[in-house]
Amino acid sequence: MFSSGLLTNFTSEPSSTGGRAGFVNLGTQLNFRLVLFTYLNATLSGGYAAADHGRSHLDRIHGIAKDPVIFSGSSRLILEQAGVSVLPVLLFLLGLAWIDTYKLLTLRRVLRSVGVGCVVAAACYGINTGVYAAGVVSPAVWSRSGAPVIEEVAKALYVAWLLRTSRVGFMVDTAISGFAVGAGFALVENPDLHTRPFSHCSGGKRHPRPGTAMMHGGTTAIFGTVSVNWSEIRGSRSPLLLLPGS
Amino acid sequence: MFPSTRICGIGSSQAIIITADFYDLFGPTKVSRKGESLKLAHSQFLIHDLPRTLAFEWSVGGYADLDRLPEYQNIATNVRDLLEANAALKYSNLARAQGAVDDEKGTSWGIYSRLYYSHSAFPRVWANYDHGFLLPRNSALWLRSSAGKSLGDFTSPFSSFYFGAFGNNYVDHGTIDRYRDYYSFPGVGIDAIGGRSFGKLMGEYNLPPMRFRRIGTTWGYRQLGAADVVFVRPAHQLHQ
Repeated sequence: MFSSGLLTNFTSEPSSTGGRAGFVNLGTQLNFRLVLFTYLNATLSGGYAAADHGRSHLDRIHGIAKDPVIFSGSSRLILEQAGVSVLPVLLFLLGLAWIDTYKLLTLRRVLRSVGVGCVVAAACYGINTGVYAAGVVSPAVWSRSGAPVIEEVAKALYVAWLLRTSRVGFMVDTAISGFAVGAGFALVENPDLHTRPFSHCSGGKRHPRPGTAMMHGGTTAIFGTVSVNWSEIRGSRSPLLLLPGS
Repeated sequence: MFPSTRICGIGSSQAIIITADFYDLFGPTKVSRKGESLKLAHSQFLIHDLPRTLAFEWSVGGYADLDRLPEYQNIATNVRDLLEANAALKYSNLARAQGAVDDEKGTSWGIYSRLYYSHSAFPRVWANYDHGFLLPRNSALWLRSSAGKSLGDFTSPFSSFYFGAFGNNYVDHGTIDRYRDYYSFPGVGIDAIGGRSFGKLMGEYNLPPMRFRRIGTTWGYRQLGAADVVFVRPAHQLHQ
């Protein structure tokens, strides 16, 4: 499976091929290899890809379906925006895990943290929806003052549990775990930008928000690193030492 | 990329004449061109410490009676005669598990330059950098990037890069993974996208291979093996 982005004519010079243009594609290729006597082999290969240019049309390849739209226009737009929003966060998370020389956190544990972040986001969605439906607090006040607290505390609880159960010990591991939880949260939050229940959504207006996604990862990572740092300085594992990071 | 026949060679240098390609009969990709050409090519390893290699390649060549660009089958040109010079530096440090079907991690990069000369000079440079990460169960995530810039008279097709399609034919003898090359862009037609400069980023996830051990048979080996290991005791020994 592959996906690529292509930007052409990004310099300001004139060109016979038009001005600046961007393209994205998504494709897959399946190879079936038959091997005889270890060395003789033949491969049957099939591939399919769809490309998009300026969100206006999809092109075909090799005689397969014209305009193979998989998602409806709106859902595709949402997924594109979600991808744009979350991709920097996931790349940053991969970078964090990659540059960690100790490699104490396995990829499985990082992905588990991302999954926990997704669950936390779903739970927060439910809580916020309930608050809005109950009408106890006005949506404007809750989205500004209530929902962010719920969300940040919910994300921090998982990191606190990791620390209390000694599943992470070093600051870098805590940062990676915290960032992974935030990335998972952003994964669920961003496809639903136009709904109210999350705190950072501007009503009805949908646009990519990589900054918000980075914020979700960053705050939880900061909480974890500050908590570990305080524990090391104080030489204690008291739950109260989690408060400064909060 | 071009079909070629080696007409003579000394060491790692060789003279090549561009010929027709049989596999152009099968599918949309055509690598043969109308006209004649002759090329002198040389390649040598600067580092050859497997799997780490660094190779330097250069070539000079000439084309006559062209009607299409040498690289791009769908781009016509009025320029019949053309001189070409290439230089490339290519590094590779790729690794795979024993029995793997493809490279699973590592780094490869290349820096390429090309000069076309017809009525004027058309230099271009491009580079690629690929890095792969090994994931659980021998799956792999690859990030492939490339970028390039072309100079010269902008009204000429020689001053542009072109992109499009997988690059394979229905019956082919080339590599099956040409969608990884910088000029490939599956989803649009061959040479459908052009530009004097480009930047390209690809993410690729290779799923773990599935092996169908029960498909096929090894009866030939079994018969030979059985004859080797069966020991038949003579009848008179059994009676004793």
